[in-house]
Amino acid sequence: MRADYDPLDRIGREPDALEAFYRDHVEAVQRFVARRVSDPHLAADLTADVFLAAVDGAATYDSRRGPVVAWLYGVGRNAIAAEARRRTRELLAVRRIEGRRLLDGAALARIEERLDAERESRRLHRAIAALPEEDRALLELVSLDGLSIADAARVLGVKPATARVRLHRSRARVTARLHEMGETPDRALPVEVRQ
Amino acid sequence: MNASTQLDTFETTLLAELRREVAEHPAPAVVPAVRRPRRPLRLAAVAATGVAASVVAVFGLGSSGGSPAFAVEKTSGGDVIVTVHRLDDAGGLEKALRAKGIDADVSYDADGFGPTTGIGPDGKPLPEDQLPPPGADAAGGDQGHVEIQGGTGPGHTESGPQAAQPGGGDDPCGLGGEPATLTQQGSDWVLTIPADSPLQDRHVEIGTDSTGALSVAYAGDEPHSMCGMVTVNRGAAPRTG
Repeated sequence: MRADYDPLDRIGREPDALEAFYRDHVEAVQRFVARRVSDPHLAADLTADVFLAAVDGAATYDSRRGPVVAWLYGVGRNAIAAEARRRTRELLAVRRIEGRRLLDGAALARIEERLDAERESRRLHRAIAALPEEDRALLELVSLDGLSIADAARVLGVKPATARVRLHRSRARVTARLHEMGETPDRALPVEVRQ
Repeated sequence: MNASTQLDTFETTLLAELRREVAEHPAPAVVPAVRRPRRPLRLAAVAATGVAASVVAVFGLGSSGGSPAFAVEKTSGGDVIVTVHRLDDAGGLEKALRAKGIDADVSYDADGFGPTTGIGPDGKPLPEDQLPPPGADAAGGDQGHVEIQGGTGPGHTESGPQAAQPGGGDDPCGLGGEPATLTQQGSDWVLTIPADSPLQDRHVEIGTDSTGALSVAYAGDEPHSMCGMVTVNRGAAPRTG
């Protein structure tokens, strides 16, 4: 980790540490979001949500349990799940920072480019959606977001051995689903897994 | 990516807002314990097995229903006492432990995890020839109780190959004293984590080995060391070492 924000809880107190952290991860977070939602305004909101959640939760980061980016993806998953719950309840939650308010034309175009680039991933994301929640989260983190099995297992609090079994099972199901959708699984499911 | 990454207008304004947020509402300088005990799940209050007058217990009923698979209690002194009646409802035990502030991973699927099979520094099982001698011949005697911990117990030390001197009488786990005890009482396993144990704030793995014996493992303070405790399988004949 760069010394600029080590230990990570500094990002909750020091604007400069936060900035260094933000610059290192803003692209990864926006891509993470773009793999999951297709609306640019929502993507902007969620990007802001993920960073706010990271700032609030930085003290929970434990470097013994994996790299910062894996932790950040865990934070991101929770932020997106919270958004889904808000929508389900149709609550108009007041955001502390409303990302979409910060968009102008050029920035909007950049977000849309990113969304375009992640179109394939979103299709995969939909194919994965039928899996049980725990299996789905795992496959997303490994196949969509490129975490190692060990890091993804840590994010989700399961053992690597358990994760491997689940991944194996999930891949078979998703491959079958992609066939139904007329996709070529090998192209759409970049799963062979890094350790 | 690095600090010279060109930010667009959205990214720049978001950064400005985040900076302001942190400046105006900084997180407390002294962070609270990372794993703060959450409000206990109060399902039933019972008198514990003669440990403390009023402890709150969480029971796991498990998928088979009927009798609880485990009980987790926190005494008024802060000790956490886990009683495992059956190797069932691992997920429920994880939740119950979390409610007591213990971060644990529980699995009874006997996939090779556990100090009897040995965990290497990378978390993978050790090869057969590096395994510690099995069984530890029921050093506790009376109840088939085997206690192995931190190199100070009567048995052998369970630790990774890079840990210091197994059985050398030192403290290869670097956690001092007895971070926890694991015993067998009748047909139950009892894991006790004292209030001042480092395990109250450290990831713990509870699992079974291929013989069905219960094991508890945690990272030692020495880099890459795994330490833990194991009981002999109550169903199996004690192995001789």
